[in-house]
Amino acid sequence: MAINRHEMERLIPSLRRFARGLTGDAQAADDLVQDALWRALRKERQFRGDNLAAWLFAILANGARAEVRSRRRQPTVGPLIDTADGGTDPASRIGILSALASLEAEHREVLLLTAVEGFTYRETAEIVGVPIGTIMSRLARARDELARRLDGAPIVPVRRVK
Amino acid sequence: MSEALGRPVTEEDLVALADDRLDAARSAEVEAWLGENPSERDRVAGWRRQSAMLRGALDPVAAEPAPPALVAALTPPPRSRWQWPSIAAVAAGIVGGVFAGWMIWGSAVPLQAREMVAIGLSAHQVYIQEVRHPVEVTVAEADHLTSWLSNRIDTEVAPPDLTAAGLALLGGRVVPENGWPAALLMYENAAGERFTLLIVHYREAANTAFRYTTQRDFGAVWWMDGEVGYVFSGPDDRARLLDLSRSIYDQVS
Repeated sequence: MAINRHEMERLIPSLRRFARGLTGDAQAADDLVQDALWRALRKERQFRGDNLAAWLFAILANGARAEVRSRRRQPTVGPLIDTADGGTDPASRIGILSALASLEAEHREVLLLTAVEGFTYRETAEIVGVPIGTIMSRLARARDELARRLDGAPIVPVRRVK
Repeated sequence: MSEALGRPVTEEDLVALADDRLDAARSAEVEAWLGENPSERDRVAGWRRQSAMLRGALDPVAAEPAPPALVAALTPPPRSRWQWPSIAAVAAGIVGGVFAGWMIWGSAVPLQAREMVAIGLSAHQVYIQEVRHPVEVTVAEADHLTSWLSNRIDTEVAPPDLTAAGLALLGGRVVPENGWPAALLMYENAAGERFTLLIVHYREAANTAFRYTTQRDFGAVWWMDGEVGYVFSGPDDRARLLDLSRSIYDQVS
């Protein structure tokens, strides 16, 4: 199925936001987006669905996972945090992004897809390629982990919720 | 704990509540349950704050206009690229050919192949000397390398694996070939000898046998396989380069 280029272009800003959240680095993020766009164009005939956004985000997420795998073979530290471009409140911005960067990749991606990109749990499950129940539990883990890092104290639920 | 309120409250409920994705009835039930479970209430409140902080930190990125380079990624270069060389190019080719001693090839060798070999050998000599930056994209980013080069030259570039012959892939770069991008992959063996593979995508298909040519201390085996031309360069060692080229040929065709 031929993909409307304008539709793709319209998604670039949110793809960049997602990639920035995944990598923490502006340049690496744009490289990921560029890779994803290229990949999408190369296999656009494989696009069957009607959810272009989910399809593109899945391609980007795959690319990011491949990057993480190959980076693991290199002696580098985790995602870089771009300290150059602070927001209105640089301190808190760096804080949350540093905390995000320290999460496991599979937690980071589900949190970004739902909480920031606004995908439904079902769409997120499709994008990541795991059952919806796994998405829900990853989200809970991701958020508890993030809270622990932001508070600097371990979160121990007083009572197990069942 | 929550029997009086209908279905038991699960962690999934809490996640969905933090995302405002419960229907009004369930939302009210879960809120009521949280009223009796302060630690869980604080947990969900913390989750909501996180989401707001994440959006606050990342939304500015989405508010930026799309960088031109990314928009350009959506319009790949025109598919057709082969043009029969102009008279000027023919003349330049002949002059260049005389200088490089390629006239021995005779007229059976297409002009574009001579240019391809010239570029392959000259890129080889320039880039193998680079100690710190022999390639633009290293093999550490193998996936990116493959998709980047493939897209730049508009044909699949899967770097051949030559580890059986003791050659490790260092990475690759784009090099200009008559105003078009071509891909240059670089390999290195344990002795520090470097080899390069130039991959050029033409529109017009041609098939040739392996041919060997030398320049100074370097040798190159080159061939055309359909629309794609290859120049494999290394130390002037005909037998070895031919052997490696066969291995490359088996993997790329």
